[in-house]
Amino acid sequence: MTTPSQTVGPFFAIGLDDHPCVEGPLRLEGCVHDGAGEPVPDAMVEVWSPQAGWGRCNTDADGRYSFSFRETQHLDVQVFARGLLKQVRTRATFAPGAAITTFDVRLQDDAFFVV
Amino acid sequence: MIGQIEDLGDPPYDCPEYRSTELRAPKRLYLLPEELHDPTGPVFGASDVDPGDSDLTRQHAGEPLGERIVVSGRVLDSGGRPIPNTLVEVWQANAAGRYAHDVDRHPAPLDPNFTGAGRCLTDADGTYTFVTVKPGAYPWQNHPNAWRPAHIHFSVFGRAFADRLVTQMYFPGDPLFAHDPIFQSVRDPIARERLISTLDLEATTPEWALGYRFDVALRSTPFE
Repeated sequence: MTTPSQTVGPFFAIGLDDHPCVEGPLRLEGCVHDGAGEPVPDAMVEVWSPQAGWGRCNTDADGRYSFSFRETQHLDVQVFARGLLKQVRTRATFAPGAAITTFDVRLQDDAFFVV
Repeated sequence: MIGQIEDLGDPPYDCPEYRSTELRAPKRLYLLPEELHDPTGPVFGASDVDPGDSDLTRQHAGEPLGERIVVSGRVLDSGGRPIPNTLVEVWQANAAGRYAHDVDRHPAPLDPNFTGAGRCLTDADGTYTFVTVKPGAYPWQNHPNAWRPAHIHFSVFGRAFADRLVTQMYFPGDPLFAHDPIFQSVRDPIARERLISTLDLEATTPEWALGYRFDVALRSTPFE
């Protein structure tokens, strides 16, 4: 029997610091938006791939996040925030040769995978 | 596309009593395609933590006010086997119910000797241990006279990134349980019990600190 999820709440930044991926020339950046289209300034974005490693970035006052990382075909993305009783999960894929990829997260318009 | 899924006792995303879900709960959920399953996840080591990170009462010049407690437990997979060397991160309000965070406007005192954040790796037996003070309840704006029951936030990794869990640990017998929409968002009362620590006299340090036990069971599948 697993332990249920609970929201990360508004104050996680005191304990959950940003963490870099395995550094490299690629960049993923974007903005987290709520259902009204407003930026979410208190979201935590985490990414993972076996090549790029694990990264964590708390969104800024404009809801923005970014990661720099090593060559990989995709990053699994999880987003946590106040108002999310459990994280949402998606995947960013990269076009060959694209140095910078914009990946906005629209919490109520985008499709997510069941966690 | 599928609707709400309440799997494994997790809360639904949509929870009208918890108002912040209104503009944030996702509306379009799909099952993960088989080809996207990834059994890998971040691996942690001693360099990711400092031994002092697990004692929240010794991060400043003096000791924090409040009821000193030892919180320990094991991180387990879905088969009940321990998950060693995995990162456990915690954060909490101080004994007065105030977070050391700019956004927290609750007019309770900050404690100059308490930040309220810690981390550690589980040992070979999957066990983690934190020393801290019992957090206070605090009011929030969700509904008239809304107060959160005392809780410690937990962030836990499993073997796979897909096993990632963020949750909250509560204290036994809290009279605010019935009034808290976040705790009550877990609809299954048996699953809700798994969010509540137990008083653990074995983990209690006599004449020093009360012990509470909180095991965290992840959905990680056991190794073959």
